[in-house]
Amino acid sequence: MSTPTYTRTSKLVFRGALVAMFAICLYMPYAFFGVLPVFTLSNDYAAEEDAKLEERKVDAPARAEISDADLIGPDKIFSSVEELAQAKQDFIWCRFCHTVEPGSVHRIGPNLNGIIGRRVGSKEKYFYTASFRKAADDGKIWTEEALDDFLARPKELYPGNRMRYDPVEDAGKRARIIKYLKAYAQ
Amino acid sequence: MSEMPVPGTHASSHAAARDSALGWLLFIVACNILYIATQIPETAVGSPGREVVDKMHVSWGITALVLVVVRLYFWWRSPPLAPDPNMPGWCWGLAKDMSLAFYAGILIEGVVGPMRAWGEGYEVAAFGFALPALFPPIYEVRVVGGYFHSAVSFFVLAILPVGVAGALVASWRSKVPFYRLFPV
Repeated sequence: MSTPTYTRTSKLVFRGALVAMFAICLYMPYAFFGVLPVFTLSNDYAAEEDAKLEERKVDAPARAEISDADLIGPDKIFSSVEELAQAKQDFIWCRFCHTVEPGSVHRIGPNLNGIIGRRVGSKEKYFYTASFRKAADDGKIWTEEALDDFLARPKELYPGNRMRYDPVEDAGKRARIIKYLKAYAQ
Repeated sequence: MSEMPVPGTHASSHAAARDSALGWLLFIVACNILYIATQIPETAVGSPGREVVDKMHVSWGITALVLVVVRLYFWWRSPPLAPDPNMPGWCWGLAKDMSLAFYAGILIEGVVGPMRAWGEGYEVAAFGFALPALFPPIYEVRVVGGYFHSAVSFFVLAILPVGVAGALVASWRSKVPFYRLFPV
């Protein structure tokens, strides 16, 4: 009885298929999650925007120093406990890709601490897509209105951006997410 | 009395049983990790559920790393594989290549995973026993490590069904039991 042999052709086919499979898998994290294995060593606007954020914080207490109760009231960010609870719930899936705490890491998306009033695409080391880099060069600012517009139509406003979630169609939900960012990302 | 070679597996019945058990243990652990990984996007960051999923992912990941290091040690040190003479050469070759790719994928995951975690400042612990961090949080390591950890997990995810399918075909062609053909 002859010993079976693993022919050169079979080896080439199987090992070639394995290499091809691996090459396809290298693309998958980008295809599914919009993540890239790259970072920038510097951002032209980060230092300037970080300094502005520090100035804004002079009048605003750090998040750790205020309780949820301080955020609720007639002249405060949230009108009721229920609205605050709903805002937390609305933002919960944003947290999959974004952190909001000061100095926290970028996840798939950039850290959003101090985003309101900050220049678009200006976080240090985060690798922005071309449309965000152009907006940064154009001096666009994340105002509450700009954020609302972006959450409503992210692909139209910044084509090619890597945010994989669907547009937030509910205006009330968009407003609560923005309030959350105001309250928790200062 | 010396042990007889077992066709379709390794040079001795003892080694065959050991390697087969290790391979199947790894297969089960890998399936478990992949299932846990699918639960990560289903649980919100900061929620108690997410913390449990993260801890289980890391714990089973380290378990897989230990198992694969042992399996690859025996792969390297064991006598050469002895294919069943009735089996077409390509079947045995496919079984070996798929298994080795599977083990290599698990090994890479086990090395890159902790690097990615330490890069982000996460604790790497297996069932409560924490490993000392080898370096402080480094964003660049976290970004590159995270991407490749994800990419290789897709590769392992692809290898498992392809390996099982290849083994089923080989088993049908050679009459060698399926469980001896993937992982080998």
